[in-house]
Amino acid sequence: MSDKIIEIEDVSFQYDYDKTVLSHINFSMRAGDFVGLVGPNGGGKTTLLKLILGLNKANNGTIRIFNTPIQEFKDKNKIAYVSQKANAFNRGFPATVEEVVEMGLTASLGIFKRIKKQHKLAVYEALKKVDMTSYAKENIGNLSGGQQQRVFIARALVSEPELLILDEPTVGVDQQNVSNFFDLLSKLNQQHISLLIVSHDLQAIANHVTNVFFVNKTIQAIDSLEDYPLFTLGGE
Amino acid sequence: MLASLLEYDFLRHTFITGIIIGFIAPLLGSFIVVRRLSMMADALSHVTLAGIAFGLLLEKKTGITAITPFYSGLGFSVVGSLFIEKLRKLYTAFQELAIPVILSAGVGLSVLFIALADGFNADLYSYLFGSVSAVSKQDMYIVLVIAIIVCIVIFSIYKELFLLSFDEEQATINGIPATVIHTFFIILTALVIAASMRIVGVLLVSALMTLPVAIGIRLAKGFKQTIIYSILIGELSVIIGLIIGYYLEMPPGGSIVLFLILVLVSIIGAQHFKRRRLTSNMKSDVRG
Repeated sequence: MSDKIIEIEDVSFQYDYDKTVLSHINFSMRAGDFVGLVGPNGGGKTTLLKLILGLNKANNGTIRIFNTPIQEFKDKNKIAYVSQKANAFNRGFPATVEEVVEMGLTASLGIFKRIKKQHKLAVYEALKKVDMTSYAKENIGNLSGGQQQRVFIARALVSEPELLILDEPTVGVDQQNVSNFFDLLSKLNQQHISLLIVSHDLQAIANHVTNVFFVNKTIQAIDSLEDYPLFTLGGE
Repeated sequence: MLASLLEYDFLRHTFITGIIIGFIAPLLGSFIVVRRLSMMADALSHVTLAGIAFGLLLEKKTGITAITPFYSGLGFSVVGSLFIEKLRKLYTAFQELAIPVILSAGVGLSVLFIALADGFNADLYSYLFGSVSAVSKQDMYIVLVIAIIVCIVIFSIYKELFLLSFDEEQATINGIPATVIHTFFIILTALVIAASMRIVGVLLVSALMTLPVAIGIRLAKGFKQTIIYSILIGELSVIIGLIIGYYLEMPPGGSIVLFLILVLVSIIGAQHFKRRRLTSNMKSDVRG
């Protein structure tokens, strides 16, 4: 059996209004990889993530997740996702950090099951991984952008996923915290969590990832930063 | 009043029903507020009013008493909730549009039924603002059944509903059936509105769902604590509102809501005062 956790073959995608967003994409990722996706606005980076997450359906081609065709892939606990909109939540929402991280257990527990003592321990462990245990009882809206992003990472980690997917996780985070944030991601990668990250900041991710791909309707591996001047890159 | 409570069945029914709705209205209201659906409760209460007017019309014109205004209000409320859902799906980009549409439909129908009946007597007034003497034993049992249903559903799908309220995209990725849960939630809201109308009245029912939460949010840390505080405040307001209503011979809807407003204003004032004192202490520390 292949150790590829994502295999995409000849996938194309277009929305109903006939605009081709992705064309003939071939891409794969192995367990333990830390992969970065960069590219211009509207280039299809987030759409590619949504295809991998099963939120969009490809028009043609095949996608396999953990050696299973995406249509049959049910083990949602293996993948955790931190959305671009994660920190665009309502700041006044009355939820503590602990409660937000507990949300990450919803899929693994299943409907009708309640949070128990062992789950509280898992929440504590996840917060420990992102150095946020001392904020467990704080309301999430009272934290800084960087701290909130760490909480969302903890929410993603609490179900012990094998693959962590992040879409523009550093938007709204100051420069000092961006650097700390990528150090945290590298640490998680060393703990055998595979990472797939979309970022507009090629320079920031280049020092941490194992592979970088440039997505702009098509996809290609970046071997050298000089081939991709920064003005062609941007967030989506 | 305690003696009257022991002596008169209707007062006992009212108080027991009040305690039940003092629990379920803020419980569901906590989710309504964080999902920014407070106005939806208002729209549904106006549809309930149309149902009540329809029931009263039926009673007056045909003498049919099997479908009481309580039942017709309940029915209209649930049907209204399904219409709101349908409209929200039709206007995905302008989902809030469903609220004025349903609200105005409710008022329009109410006016029509009232006109057809050539006006109503004090009955309608008690439905509008609540009454300390309007709850029958049967009403009390229906409210109890509604409360049991609400509690079972909310406690069963608490974490799904919480995630859906906080982050709908993440909920969808986790495989939570958002549409099904949302439809259940709106039907529950309709049931709670119908259950609460005998005590607070249809025009003030949304206040009992949202005002305790508005207060709870200011005091609590986290969502569970918000729910607990909201329920405690809801219970307190119903008990005090009913006592005031009984002694002043006024509809309890008004006294309950005014008590809640008073608590809210006091807490906002106290927090403002505390913040100002803290700021001035900090300034003097810096100077010193």
